Amino acid sequence: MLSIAYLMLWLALVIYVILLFRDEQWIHRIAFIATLAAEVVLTVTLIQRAIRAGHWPLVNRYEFALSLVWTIIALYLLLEVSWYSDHKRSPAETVILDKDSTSHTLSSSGSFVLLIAVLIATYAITRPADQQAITPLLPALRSTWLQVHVLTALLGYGAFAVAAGLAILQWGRWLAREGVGEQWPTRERIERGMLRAVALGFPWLTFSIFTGAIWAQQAWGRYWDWDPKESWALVTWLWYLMVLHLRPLRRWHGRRLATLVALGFALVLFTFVGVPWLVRVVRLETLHGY
Amino acid sequence: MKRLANRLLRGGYHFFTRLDWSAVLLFIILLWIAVGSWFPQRTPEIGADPGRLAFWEAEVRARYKGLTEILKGLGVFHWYRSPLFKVILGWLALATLVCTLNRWRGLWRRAFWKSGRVVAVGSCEATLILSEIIVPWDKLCEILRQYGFRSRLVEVQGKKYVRGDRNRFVILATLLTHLAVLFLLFGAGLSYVYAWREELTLRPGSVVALEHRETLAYRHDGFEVLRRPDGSVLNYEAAITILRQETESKRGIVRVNTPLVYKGLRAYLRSYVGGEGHYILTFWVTRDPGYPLVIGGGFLLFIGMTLAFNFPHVWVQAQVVDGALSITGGLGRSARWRADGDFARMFTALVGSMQHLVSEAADGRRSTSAEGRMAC
Repeated sequence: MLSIAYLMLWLALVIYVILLFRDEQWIHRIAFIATLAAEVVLTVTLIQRAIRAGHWPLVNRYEFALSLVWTIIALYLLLEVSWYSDHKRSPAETVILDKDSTSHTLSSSGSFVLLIAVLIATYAITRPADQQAITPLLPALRSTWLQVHVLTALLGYGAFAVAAGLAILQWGRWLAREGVGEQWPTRERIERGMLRAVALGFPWLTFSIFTGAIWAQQAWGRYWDWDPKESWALVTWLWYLMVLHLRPLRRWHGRRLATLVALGFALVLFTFVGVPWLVRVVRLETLHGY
Repeated sequence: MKRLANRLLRGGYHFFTRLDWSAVLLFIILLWIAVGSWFPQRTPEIGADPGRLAFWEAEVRARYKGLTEILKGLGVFHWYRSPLFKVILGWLALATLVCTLNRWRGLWRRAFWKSGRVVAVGSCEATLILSEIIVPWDKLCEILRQYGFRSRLVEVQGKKYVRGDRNRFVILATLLTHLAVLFLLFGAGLSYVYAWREELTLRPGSVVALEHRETLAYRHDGFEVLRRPDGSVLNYEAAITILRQETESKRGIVRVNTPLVYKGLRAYLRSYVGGEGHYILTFWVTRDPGYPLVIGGGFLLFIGMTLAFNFPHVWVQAQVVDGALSITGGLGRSARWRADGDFARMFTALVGSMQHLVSEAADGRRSTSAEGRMAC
């Protein structure tokens, strides 16, 4: 089932890449349907695993990666629907927002968002068998705060992935050769979409860090211990806080802002994948060994 | 001298309120934290236990060899407890406090309509050209109310204008987030100074007094490892009794994720050794007066950000300028990226209603024309 979802994700990605160069309504529709289908299959896969394991698939890196892919696609589809309905309902004679753009939505970013999703899915399916196996829940993981902490982290990370997809599109707009990307949305529109996604994710990342602190207090008697995972979650949070502080400044728009948002997601990935590597290489002590 | 001091004070004040410097400060803090995460930290618990300290030292020396002394000199092993990091966090607290105080008055006045200022520039503008100045102000207020605005008619220096706001209290959300950061830092400071953690090792039936609270003692009443049918561990349960001046005060079970709480003290099961009936248990008893403030601050931060980002402050203003009814509107700063669809649509419809109203007031004479200009 997971292999089918993975293949469908690749298919959707290919269609979105085609859409980058031929912005036509029917291709957009097929891309959207293919992504939706991949999401449905992934949902079934996750539900099956949850039933077999007896808990939500949120407790190890493999399960988190799969759930993150699911969240990225869900958020992307929701945002695309909102962008589309936003455009459709706008009376064109009065709302002249993107005079130089003929793109209906920000769907050109779909290829980049899906690329991120595919990369994370690839990370998940290439995990060793022992990490993919369903194992009994450790006593420390039997907490409601775990569900809240991880679910909110997924929302935050998912929104940041969408923002990063838009940031790459922004860069693509600058780097594209003449004749390519003419139908893509304007830089202003991409930037608004990007900031909207960051503003969606940031409160959830905040919530996730604090629910994690509550859980740490319940389990280990200390809400903050400068554990590498905690430190990097804080680094990511501070990075996005910095982005939000730079946003009103005139100099920090366009490519610079896009770079910051893309780097922010690189920090998210480091917190998720890089920290376990760091702990192993530098032989650090951590309580986040799941 | 006094003038110089004033200038320095004013300069310092502006420095702390600048957004670019706030961003620089945030960058410095995150860089500091990132650097520290690459080195094993010598926590106070390690420092307090000679055995653990010796093991930790040996590990560090084996890993960093000749670099150990240099790294020690740089303070990388107690990076998060270094005086410089405390100075940086102090700077953050001061910058947040100054920024909050600086913005408090303006935001408060805007939220409670006390500014008495006519805003001239908005993200969306429209002009209704009038041949006669017949503006039914009350009805304009009514239209704004129909669109979900809280409206009012104001007169500033003999000139009337109608002002409508939606979610105007969200203006205060920024203050809430800044206050939350202060709460957090204060709570973290309290934890740093007053929080303690004491390790107790209890043999079956033994009573051990707490060093931090000499009147309190803990007794080990029993321990059980709960298992699933497949043999995997479901949980650990330790029965303990808390004695106050040798009298029983509280009995309870400590499990993983479920500490036993007594008068602000929390007892956590840390480890066990031994076999059936002879388990020796290690507990952590902790007290942290900063914890509620930190968590409270965190939730305030979440609420403030959710309000600021998702319930944008929207305003519309109508006034007569050079024989025309000038209508201006916009969104609050914290949610300007939302201006793409909904606001422009609503503004267009609102201008249409106002045009209709002004035409009617001009007694059927089609004296008005609408000119829409959007710069959202």
